[in-house]
Amino acid sequence: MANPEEILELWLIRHGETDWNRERRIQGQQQNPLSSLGETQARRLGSRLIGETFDTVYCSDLKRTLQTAELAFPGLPLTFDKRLREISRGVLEGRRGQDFAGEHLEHYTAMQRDLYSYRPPGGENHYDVQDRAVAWLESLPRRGRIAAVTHGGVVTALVRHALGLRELTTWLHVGNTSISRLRLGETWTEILGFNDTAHLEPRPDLHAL
Amino acid sequence: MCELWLIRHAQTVWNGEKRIQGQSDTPLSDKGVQQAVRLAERLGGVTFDAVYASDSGRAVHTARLVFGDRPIALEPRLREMSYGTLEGKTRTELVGAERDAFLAYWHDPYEVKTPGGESWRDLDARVAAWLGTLPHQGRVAAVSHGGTIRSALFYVTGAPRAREWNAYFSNTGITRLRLGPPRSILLSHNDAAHLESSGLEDDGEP
Repeated sequence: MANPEEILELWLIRHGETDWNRERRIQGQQQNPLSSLGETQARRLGSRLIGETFDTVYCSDLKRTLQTAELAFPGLPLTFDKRLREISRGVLEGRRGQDFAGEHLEHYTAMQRDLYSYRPPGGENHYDVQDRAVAWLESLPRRGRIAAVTHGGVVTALVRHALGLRELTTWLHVGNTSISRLRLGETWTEILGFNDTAHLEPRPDLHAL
Repeated sequence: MCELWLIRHAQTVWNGEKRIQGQSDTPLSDKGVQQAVRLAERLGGVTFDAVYASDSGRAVHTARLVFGDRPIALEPRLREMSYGTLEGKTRTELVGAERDAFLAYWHDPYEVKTPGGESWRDLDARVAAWLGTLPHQGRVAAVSHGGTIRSALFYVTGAPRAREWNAYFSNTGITRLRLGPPRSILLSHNDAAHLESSGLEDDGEP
């Protein structure tokens, strides 16, 4: 009789709203805190997660993910990992699309055109993020249940990885405090769910980005 | 952009027994009826401009439970892929020539049809045709089947149809898409939150 296959169930959670999310500012690896809406979202997630157990809770080491994890997984030890950080956008961080002029406008335009491959000065591209996210993923044991509080760029990178893709023509929308879930076996990966924000229903005002 | 909510039908008696269902029909199980009722409660406040359902009994029944007596457009192109003469059997019951035929399909599901049935290519063609008839705005719901929803998801996202089935679809799970142009957006895949902590969740195996 064959050994039952060991399977890892992975819950990927995006942090709650920050003021810069609402203002549509490129946030990258800046250390912005949650807005008060973001704190509410994270608490709602925390209520939903009562009774769910995880072997480990990983967390990007940026402020917004730490705050989200503290509210969603109160009292649990957190394992920080830089590989779970948002995509770094270098010189473009802090501004909105309409704020760019001159040289920075050229960088921004190039980024819109080459969405996956363009690296702004001092920043990363989406291939870089996928490489580091997958390195983190491959470091995980293939059993049990793990949660990771992270960012949109990392969630989309891992979903694309599950589909065997470097890039995707469709936009993958990752909401604040959304849950996306993967199952991983020895040789396969399955997407169980993507962008679940049911804990924010039925209040449209709780959805930010 | 049209916002499309694709909903897999509720659990049937054969889902519970892990039988290959395809275009054969079995009634919803008691658990399935409860799943549909939960979804109805959740969607109470959501407005849809149109509701479609595959014309298979399990999809129509699910749609009636979820959407009440609003008009439901029955759509044969939203049926599950046909598994021909394999339908009704569990995988472990397949032996001899039938087992060989199933494995041949399994190894190349895009090109190889099931005996008396369809291939993924056939399924993809009819799903793409139906998607092309949708309006360019508003919100539309469609109650359908796992294989069909997977086909729509892969078609809209342009992801390659790899041999492995690597996206799971729960009974009454919701997959939401905004259809381009411009770029399409995947808003959610397999949201079955209404079943959480209820004892009505899927067993976790396709």
